[in-house]
Amino acid sequence: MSDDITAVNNSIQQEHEGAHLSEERFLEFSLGEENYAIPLLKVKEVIAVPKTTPIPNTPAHFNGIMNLRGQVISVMDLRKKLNIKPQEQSEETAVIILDLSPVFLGCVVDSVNKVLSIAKSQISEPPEIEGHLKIKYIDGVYRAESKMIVLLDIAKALDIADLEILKKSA
Amino acid sequence: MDEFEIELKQGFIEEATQLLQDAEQAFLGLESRGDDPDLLDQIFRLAHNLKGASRAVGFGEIAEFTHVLENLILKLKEGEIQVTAGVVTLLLECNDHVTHMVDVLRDDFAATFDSVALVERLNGALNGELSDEGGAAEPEASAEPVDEAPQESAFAEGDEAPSMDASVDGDDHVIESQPEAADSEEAESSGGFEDDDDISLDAVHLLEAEKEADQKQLESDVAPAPVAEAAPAVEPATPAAAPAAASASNGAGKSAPPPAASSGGGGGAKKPSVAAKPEESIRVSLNRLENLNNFVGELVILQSMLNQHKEEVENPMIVKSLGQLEKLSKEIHEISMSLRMIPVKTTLQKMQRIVRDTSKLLGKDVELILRGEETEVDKTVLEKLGDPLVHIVRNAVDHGLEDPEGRLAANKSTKGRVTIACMHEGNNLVIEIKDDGKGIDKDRIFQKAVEKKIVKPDSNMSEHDILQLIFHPGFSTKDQVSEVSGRGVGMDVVKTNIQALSGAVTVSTKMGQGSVFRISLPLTMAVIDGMIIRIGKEKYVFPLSQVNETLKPEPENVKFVTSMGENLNLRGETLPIFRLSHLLNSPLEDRPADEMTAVIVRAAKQNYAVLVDEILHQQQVVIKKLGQEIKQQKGFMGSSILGDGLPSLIIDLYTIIEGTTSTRKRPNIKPKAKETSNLDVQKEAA
Repeated sequence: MSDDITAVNNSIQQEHEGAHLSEERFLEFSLGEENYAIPLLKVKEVIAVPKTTPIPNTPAHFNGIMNLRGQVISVMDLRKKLNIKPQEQSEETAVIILDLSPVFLGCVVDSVNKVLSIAKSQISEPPEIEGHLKIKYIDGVYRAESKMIVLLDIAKALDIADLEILKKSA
Repeated sequence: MDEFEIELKQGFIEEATQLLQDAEQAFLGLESRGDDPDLLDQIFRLAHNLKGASRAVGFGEIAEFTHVLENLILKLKEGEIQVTAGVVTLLLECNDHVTHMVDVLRDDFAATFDSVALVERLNGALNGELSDEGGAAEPEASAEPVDEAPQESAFAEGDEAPSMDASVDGDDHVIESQPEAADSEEAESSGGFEDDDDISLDAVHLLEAEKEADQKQLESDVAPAPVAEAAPAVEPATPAAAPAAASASNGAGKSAPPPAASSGGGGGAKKPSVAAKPEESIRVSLNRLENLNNFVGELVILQSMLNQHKEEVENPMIVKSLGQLEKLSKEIHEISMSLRMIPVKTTLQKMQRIVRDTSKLLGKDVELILRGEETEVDKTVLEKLGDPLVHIVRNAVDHGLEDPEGRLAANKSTKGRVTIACMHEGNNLVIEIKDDGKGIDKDRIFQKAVEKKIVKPDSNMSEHDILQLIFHPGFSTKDQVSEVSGRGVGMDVVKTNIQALSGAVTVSTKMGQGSVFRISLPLTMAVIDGMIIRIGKEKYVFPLSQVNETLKPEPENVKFVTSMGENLNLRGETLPIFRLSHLLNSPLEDRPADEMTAVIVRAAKQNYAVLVDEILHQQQVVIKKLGQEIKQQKGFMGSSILGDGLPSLIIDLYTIIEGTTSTRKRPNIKPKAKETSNLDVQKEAA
């Protein structure tokens, strides 16, 4: 597990240094039985699940705040947020620290799988489902072998909706 | 536009902002010292700098405008036009205009401006249309000493080998020559240092070299930046003197006037030699500072975690090192905190303008005196201090000071006086704004408050309480709303802003002698004294400044009333009780109030008691900002990482009850009348 995280974090570093320009790279992770991916550039790092302090009056998927080397960061549970039945908490469970400047957020996922290099042409549009507006946060779909990986607009999936919920509850 | 150019332009905007601030001060100074050649000289330099710099980075419009302005200043300097109130007003307007241009350019490098009207007025002034208002002194005669200055320091021109005599002579110039005291012979004959005989020869050399640099600067007319100009000249001249730089500037600093505030050089021709060597400084972005502070904060936390386990360590070497490490991290912490501290000067100086404009508008003659401008305070605190100060100062000029006739009748000089004094008191910054006006009429305040139904006519209030009424929202003794005041918003803003900074404001007054507003603020918003409390398993931090007292309530002092919730009888005063667990919607089971601890809070809007399970301890906490995703939530000041490495929320006791009060009866209504219907319930059912 920790080896995985180190490898992933190395890739993140490379991506931020602009090593791979030809194709975009994504970080693939699992929520329950499902596979998702987000652009690697939005990822600051991946860490093991930290201790958090709960915050009152926040939605259920809001785990609380954590101490990331002196920086206080909110942690959310992406599985609860997207209504996905989580797997049992295990060594695989990880927190992805997102860099959605100016906001830094941690989000809990069931496991971090690997870094994918995907060319634009390999991404297909999400299937349109009439009457379903909820899938706004899906950027596209990528198929690899037997897997279907959903490319997530993580800001839309978490942040913006949350800001509004929090505004209401405040 | 390439990056380099953008950087240049941004650099200019930073520089220009500083120049304009200095210029405003100088313009205001002109009003009282219109004949001061040094001041005019300084203004000329500032304008010239601005013109040159703006042209260099391609802001042509500023350059054109300042060119016209410079012409006017040149004429003022040469005495062709006299300095009158009209001219000063025009200069100030020009300053505002350029400030506006710079502000707009900050966001949009391509912005264009309409300066025609002002340029016309400037040209008018150049043709003497403004100057016949008269009243100012002749600047001509006093311009001479400035011109003579270069010759006095002839040794510097002559490149002679630095002998002791010559250099001491040189020093004397540097230190003694004040702009007005331009008598070279006297200075030479007095010879030698008066205070600092022990200053090293090297240092003397350095000073001399500075002098030389200064000389060059004079020769090249008006140099863009004296510091930059002087530096290269110093080094080649006396390479060996470099290490002595610090001692030299210290030595000079003792007897020399404090370095002029302007980055454009000091006042007179000779001043720059002193001003050219202020403490060296570099500009650092606030972001990087905050980064540093974050890590230092983390270091301090780690340190406190280490300390908790100190006893478990047996190796004496490690114990010793731990102790040293602790000392070091404390020092580093202190230094990193002090990096955010800046002098209150800039904010205070803005008050000059406020006083000038307000008093002109009201036809009053007012003098503003500033004390303790060098007092330092955290940058964020200072930024939020501006508004409250403006309100108080305006209020002092408008309400406090009488008009000239009134002052004469009261046997005072016609010139009103407002004093702003800053000082440190313990861990607080204290600012006192004092006026020598008529004082605050308590009876009138009370009467007005009754009229506005803020208090009941039969209320029995102490003098202090009556004075505090002026901070009540909507309160104003003025019957008519004027441009300056009367809406009753100002003092409310003062109180709210100061409280938001965890500070306090009080007012005292003496009829016929004036009033004093006293603001007391914590020095920094980055670190506060916190009280760590516990409810259930959660730890929270209360800012100690918001806690009035804490106590264990006796069961007979806590009463529940259906319409009002729980109330605490505190020595005869009835305070509403809020349970922290309710405020935070935590699922904890309620316990009887007398098993808990009550924390008494006295806020502007409401006094109340908040119940917590336990008070753990008090400590200084470093405030960490909360992310935007939770900022919207009211009632939290931020978070802080405690000794266990976990973040805890800092609760703003002044705002956390907002919104919840609506479900309770207003506390202003005396709840005692209903005591007969009190239920003796210790446990709140809800």
